[in-house]
Amino acid sequence: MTPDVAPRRGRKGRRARDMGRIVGLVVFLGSLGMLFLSLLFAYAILRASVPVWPPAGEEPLPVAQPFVSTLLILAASVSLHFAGRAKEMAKRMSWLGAAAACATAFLVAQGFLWWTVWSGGWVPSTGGYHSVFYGLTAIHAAHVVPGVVWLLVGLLRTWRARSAGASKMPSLALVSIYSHFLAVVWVVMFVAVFLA
Amino acid sequence: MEHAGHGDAHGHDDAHGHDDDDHIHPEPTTFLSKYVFSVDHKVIAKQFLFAGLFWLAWGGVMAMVIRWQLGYPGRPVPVLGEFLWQENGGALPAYSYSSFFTMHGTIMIFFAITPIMIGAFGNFCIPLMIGARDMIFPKLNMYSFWAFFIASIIMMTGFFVPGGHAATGWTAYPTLSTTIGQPGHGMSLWALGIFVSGASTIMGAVNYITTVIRLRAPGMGYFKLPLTVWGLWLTSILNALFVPVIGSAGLLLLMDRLFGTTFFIAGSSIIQGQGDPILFQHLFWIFGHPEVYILILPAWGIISDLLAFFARKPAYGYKATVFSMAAICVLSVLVYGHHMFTTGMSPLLSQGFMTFTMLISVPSAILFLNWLATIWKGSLHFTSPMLFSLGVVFVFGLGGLTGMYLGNITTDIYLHDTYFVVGHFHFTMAAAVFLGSFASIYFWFPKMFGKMMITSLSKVHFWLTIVPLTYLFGAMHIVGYGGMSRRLFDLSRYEFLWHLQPLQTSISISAFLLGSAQFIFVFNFFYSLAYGKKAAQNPWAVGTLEWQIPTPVPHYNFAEIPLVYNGPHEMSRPDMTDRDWLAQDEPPPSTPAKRGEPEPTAEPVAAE
Amino acid sequence: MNPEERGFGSGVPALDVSEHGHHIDGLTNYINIANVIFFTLVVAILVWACVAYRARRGARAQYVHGTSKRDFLMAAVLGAVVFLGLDLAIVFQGSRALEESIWRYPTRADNPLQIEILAQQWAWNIRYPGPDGRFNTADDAVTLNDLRIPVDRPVLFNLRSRDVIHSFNLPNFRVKVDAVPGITTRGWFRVPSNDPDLLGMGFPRPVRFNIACAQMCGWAHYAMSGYVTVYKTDEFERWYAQAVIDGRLRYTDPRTMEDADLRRREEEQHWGWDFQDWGEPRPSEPAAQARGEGAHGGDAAGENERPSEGAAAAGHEGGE
Repeated sequence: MTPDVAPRRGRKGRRARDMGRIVGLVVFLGSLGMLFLSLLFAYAILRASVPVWPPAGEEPLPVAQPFVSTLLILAASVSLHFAGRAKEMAKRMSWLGAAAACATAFLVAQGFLWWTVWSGGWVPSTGGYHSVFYGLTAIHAAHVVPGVVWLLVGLLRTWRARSAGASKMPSLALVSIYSHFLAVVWVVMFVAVFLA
Repeated sequence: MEHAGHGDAHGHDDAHGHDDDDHIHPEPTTFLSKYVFSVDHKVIAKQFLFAGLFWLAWGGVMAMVIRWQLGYPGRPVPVLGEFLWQENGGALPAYSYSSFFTMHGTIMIFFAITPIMIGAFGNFCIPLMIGARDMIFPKLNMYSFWAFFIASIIMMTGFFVPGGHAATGWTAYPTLSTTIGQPGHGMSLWALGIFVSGASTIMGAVNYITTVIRLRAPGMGYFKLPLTVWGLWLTSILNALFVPVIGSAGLLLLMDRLFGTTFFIAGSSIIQGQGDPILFQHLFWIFGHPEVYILILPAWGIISDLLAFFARKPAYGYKATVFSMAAICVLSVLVYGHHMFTTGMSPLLSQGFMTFTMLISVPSAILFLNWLATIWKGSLHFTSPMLFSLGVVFVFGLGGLTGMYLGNITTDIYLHDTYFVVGHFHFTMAAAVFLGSFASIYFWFPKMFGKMMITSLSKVHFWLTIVPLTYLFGAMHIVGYGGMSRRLFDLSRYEFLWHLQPLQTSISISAFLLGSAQFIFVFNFFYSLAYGKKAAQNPWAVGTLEWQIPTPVPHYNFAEIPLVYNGPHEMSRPDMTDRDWLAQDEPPPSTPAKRGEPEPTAEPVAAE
Repeated sequence: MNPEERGFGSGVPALDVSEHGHHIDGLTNYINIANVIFFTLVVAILVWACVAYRARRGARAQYVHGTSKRDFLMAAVLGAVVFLGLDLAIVFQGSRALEESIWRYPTRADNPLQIEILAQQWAWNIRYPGPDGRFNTADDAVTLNDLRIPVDRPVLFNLRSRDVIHSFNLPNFRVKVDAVPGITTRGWFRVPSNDPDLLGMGFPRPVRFNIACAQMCGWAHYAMSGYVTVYKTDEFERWYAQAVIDGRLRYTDPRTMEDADLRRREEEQHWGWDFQDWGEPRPSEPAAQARGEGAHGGDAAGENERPSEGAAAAGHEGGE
């Protein structure tokens, strides 16, 4: 096997370090994936235990608003993808900026969605359907928040790095993987909770 | 010599710049960065060890109070009674009893075993045994400890809130654990504490998994890892995958309690809700069954190594041990339903769970075969770690076999939720794991603290532990077989159990003996820490990497990253005459005839 | 034998007076024997190895890795013995017991005594349907923590919980079924009049046993006890007839009550529901499953308003 010893130097060392971080992140996302899987499992069990869904006395949730959220989080993900591929610094900066804007907009859209549903009188204690809605979307959003913070910090760092003449945002690959993951989770959630 | 090695590592680091590698960090200079907010895996290991031992003592005292109530129902609790339950004449009230057994279980599982076995020995052993200079993410490692610390504070706070701590049993089944059964804040703090400690565990697990994947020394193939590392690694994988499941259950429970959602609250004649209390049981046991293997796997790995070390023999069937442990990990996911046989689960599902549960006995039997064959025709040195390892084989034999009754729907109908279950899981999860912990502490103490523990005292500790322990949990099986439900404050309401009271009293007496025997350990531990004999570099004469570096271990562990040639227990090789062990990073005197394992070709890079 | 000495069926294990209990005890004994053999073997090897192979001057351990064909064969044989002798044997015996008796619920032809049990913190509410065979009517017999049953007749019970999860545990009848809020679970047992343990306890005089709760249900979990009394058939019928009369005397139709608070309290006394019969059990899937259509929705929507309507909303066919 190849020697994988520390400390390592130069480009090779950095690549090994980045690889280590990516492995770590993938393991962590496995963990996070289990969290969302168990939430979806909970949803499936609740849904299977009643004859009709949404249960009697609960109104179907809006679809248009979460669809906008879906577009926003996908846009953030796509922007990050292009940011990773961009060769020029300025281009990368603008793609990153777009990603950060979309992700923030996603959070705003989610907030607006909760506000609409809540002000319609459908509070979490209404029943199982609304419990699932608030619970799952809130836990997802709680994981988007650190992603947005990470993205903004990254943006700031890239900006600084540009003025210092460096060319690589250190954790771009990591934050992209994380964002893609959350986007996929959201799409599954959107289909499962709002459409199905 | 130590200092030379030390300086070398330091120079090395300076030459190449530590910025490149997360896990290479300069030696801390201030007190805070050295002992408190340390990123050094060895210091974090000690922090986890002390935190775990503190909670172990706390949970142990709770167990003693529980046993007092069961042995001498309604009599004032000695010493503690006067302070805590004055209004009750010093006797333990029923509410406090519930709270005590709940917190005893919670503390022992999440705050004693997890930090000692996984936090302390995971941190200490993994980098040293695979030849790395630290965990791959040292800062994450520190966060893991401090998250555990915050969780500890949250859990501790629960004891002081009005209404008392959680009192639902460690399983926290709703709807008892929702505001219907537990209106106080204790239960919410419990759920939060579990969630935060789970976050800590996941951080640790991510770190361990990645470290083993990325930072093995050159030549250290997966099948040259010490079995300790295998046990800890498999445990980490289970942790990373299944702790989030209890995390989700805890979050949903918190939402039910604080925000009025109805995930677990089902409608009945007096309650409104459309949730499903059984859902929590699913989530809990999807986590809960792997959790028992999470707790026992490190102990299995450690004793597999220790038995080989002190039998002066290579571990018998190394790969079979690894594959058995892995098979058990996979099966552990498929059997969780055996905790729920009485909930009216669908028969088809029940029978599936039953079959898979029974299947676990096959890899377990192979583990036993390997342990026994390892000591067969060995040259057994009955050191204290060896005694405790043999103890694990003995009590885990008892615990594993009594599981046969419970994994089976038919016999489980009678034994479900009785003291039989309590005895069974204490043999497996408590007795086996803590004997394994003691074995590890006695074994690695010299490397951790640079001092030797007092051998005679540790042997006395062993015998005074194993005898009452076997009686204590063995007799619980009899009580359960007599039909006594678990978590009973007092059996006097049940005439058919009256004849078991003398047995209960005898169990309590042996519990007190077991409890007092631990003072020997406490004394030995702290006395040796302060005044112990200075430990040699390799007092046990074994070949794993951590014993090939100076004691105490320098900040950078390995001055040069070792090049690994051999398996972890190359003992009593016929081609060696001067000593009976071969270090992992030492070229074997003659070329091993085994095929299929290529010789390491890489040069020791760090030797440049 | 003196009945006083054997009172309440104590023993290790607790005495068993049910028809199906011997399946459970028999399988337990099988595992006992298998376990004793295995454990003796393990301990014998352990002790032998510790004595015979203790470190001695000049002696050297054998250098083997246990990877030869012979070792592999040994592991395979052990695996096979455990798999066939323990696993399969236990699974087959267990499944046979389940399918032959434990999950073979009595059908209408067996004329079971139907009972509804509502668990609450910390008591067992027990309801008999009365002569009309329907629950939640004026002729129900209702008791608290006091289950009375005849010999030789299957007792089929439905179980629900009012607040938290309980577990209806009759150790001497080898019955243990969880009572879960929101779903209805069920169980059954039968006491043969010629059971030697029952006769040993003084039958045909009435014999008493304990009811216990097996699931942690709050701080007074330990106090959630009750009694089962086994009667001769004619004595049981006599008690039942009297209990029905008592029930009628105490009965008030809540709809006639003016005071809202009193009415609510009275309604709470009518906790009965439509007995779920589950139909004829199919041999392959004896349907212990209670959840499904209506059990949930019916509960939540109906029972808070009016118990009887709630039961009707559940949409299940009547008990009898």
